Amino acid sequence: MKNIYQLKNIIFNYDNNILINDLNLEISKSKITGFIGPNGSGKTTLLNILSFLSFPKSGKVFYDGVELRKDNLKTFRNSVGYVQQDPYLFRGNVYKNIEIGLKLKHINYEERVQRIKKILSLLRIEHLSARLSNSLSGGEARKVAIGQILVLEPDVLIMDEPFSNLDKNSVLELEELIIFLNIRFNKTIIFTTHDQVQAQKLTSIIYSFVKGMLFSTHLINLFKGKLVDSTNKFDTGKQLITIYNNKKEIEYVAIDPRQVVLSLRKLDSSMQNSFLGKIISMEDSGNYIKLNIDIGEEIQTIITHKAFNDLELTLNMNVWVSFKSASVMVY
Amino acid sequence: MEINKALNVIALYFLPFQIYAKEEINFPIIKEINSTNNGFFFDSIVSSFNLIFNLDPLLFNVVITSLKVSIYAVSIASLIAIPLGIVVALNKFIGKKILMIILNTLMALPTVVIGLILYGLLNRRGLFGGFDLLYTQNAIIIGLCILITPVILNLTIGAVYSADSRLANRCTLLCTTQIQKIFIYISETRFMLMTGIITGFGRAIGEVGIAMMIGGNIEGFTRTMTTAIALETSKGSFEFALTLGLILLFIALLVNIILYYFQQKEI
Repeated sequence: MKNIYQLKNIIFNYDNNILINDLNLEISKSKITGFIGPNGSGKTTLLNILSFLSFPKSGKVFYDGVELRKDNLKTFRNSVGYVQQDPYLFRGNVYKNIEIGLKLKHINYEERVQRIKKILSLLRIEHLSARLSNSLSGGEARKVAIGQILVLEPDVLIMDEPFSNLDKNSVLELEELIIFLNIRFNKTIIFTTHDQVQAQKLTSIIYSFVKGMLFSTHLINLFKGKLVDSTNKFDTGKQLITIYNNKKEIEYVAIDPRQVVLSLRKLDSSMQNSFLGKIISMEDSGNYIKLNIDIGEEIQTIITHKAFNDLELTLNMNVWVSFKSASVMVY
Repeated sequence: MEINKALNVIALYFLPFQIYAKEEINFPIIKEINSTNNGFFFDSIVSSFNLIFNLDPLLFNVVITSLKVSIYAVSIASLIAIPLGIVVALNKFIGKKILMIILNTLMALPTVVIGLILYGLLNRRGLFGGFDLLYTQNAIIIGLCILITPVILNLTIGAVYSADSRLANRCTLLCTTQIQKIFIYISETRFMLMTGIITGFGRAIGEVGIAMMIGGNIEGFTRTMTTAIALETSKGSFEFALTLGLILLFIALLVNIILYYFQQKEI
């Protein structure tokens, strides 16, 4: 499979603050790639690099096989469309907002009209065409911002937190649009999100971002907190997790859902972590069932259909959640 | 007797109205004031309105000259200062901080200093003496341009700095050229830029030093409202000076109303 991006040993720092630390990444062409991570983990910095808005302090970036340099950065910008988290809309109505990019690229009037019509219909925002940009709701503004980019027909569509501050309907519409653009137009789509479920639903490849470091595994059950002084307890603010650790500073812990054991009674075992919780959601994912359990923090686990039936699990049922301290990854 | 005294005090307190009241009421103190100095100012105001409503040609020539040189100066200064201001604000370059300090200093440049320097340059023995610009409207326009370009330039830089920070990224992502970027910023910050232009106009129309020194205050040619006010007052033609003062005040009011309108639009 062809890679559209190749990033090698990327370091990006701002003053003394390292935002991205020795990142190596390959992004496949015509695929949907998602980045999950908490605020300040370096996601937006990475998207700025991928959209050629920023240039890394060190390391190499290849786009479609060509190495990027500060002097050839501009030539690639046209093939990438970047919808920022809080996109800027120009003064004037929606139609003019979508038209401006075409005007700047000296596209003739007939083609402009045709392309804008197509985009308005694709995004189902024909009715907003004459509306002033400052009168749009968050979801409508996000769609117009996507329209501004899509009308320029980029090969890669990059979106920073596209689902944040959107109502449920807008989220569903946007999810549909992302899948449609990928399947129908073969677009490479890259986006960041906080929502693990959303990422799993939409993307073929998910990366997790923690403290400027990238993990190709999907970090589920990622909790922020701090180490309790001179103990091996990690305090998330809502729950104390026992960890196996020799680091002095820890900001995040992650627990692999496959390492989480469910039981109806407290287990008499060597596992250091055992919490009583309540099942708050269940989702059948084909080969296994995903369960979200409230143990103070919301923890996700996966079990087989057989185990699910044997334990006769139901929603709001109380269960014991156990995992080894060695299975807790620390960052 | 006591009642008469009290009425006199009230009449004095409401002095502005005595101009209308004097025919009907016959108070001794008011009569005394009228016959000395008080009527002078109010009679002048009445005469001023007469001059305005009678469309006095001399008066309107002065007003038109003032408006003409100010509008020309503001137009030229805006054409220079707005694109330049946007370029300065959006780009990093060596000496930018020094430039900003110089621009701020130029904002407070005394008009007589501009007049003096231009006089030195434009008189027959000066560097540009050959152009025969001294004591012409063009000389005043040049002087006013020098005066208000830093004002508009500074306010343009301020407008760009206070524009939405996402706009710069948006322009970069749209791969705009420097000229396209200037037009986008003009469009997006237009109300704030208008504030700069209006402020510049206000400064130009009320200016006296430049118009006097390099305009020469020639009647029917380079006599502006401010120079005319200075001259007519010294000649003792108070009514004429006061009329111009009222028009100038009215223009200032109009400018401020427009300024307020644009500031509100920006909010």
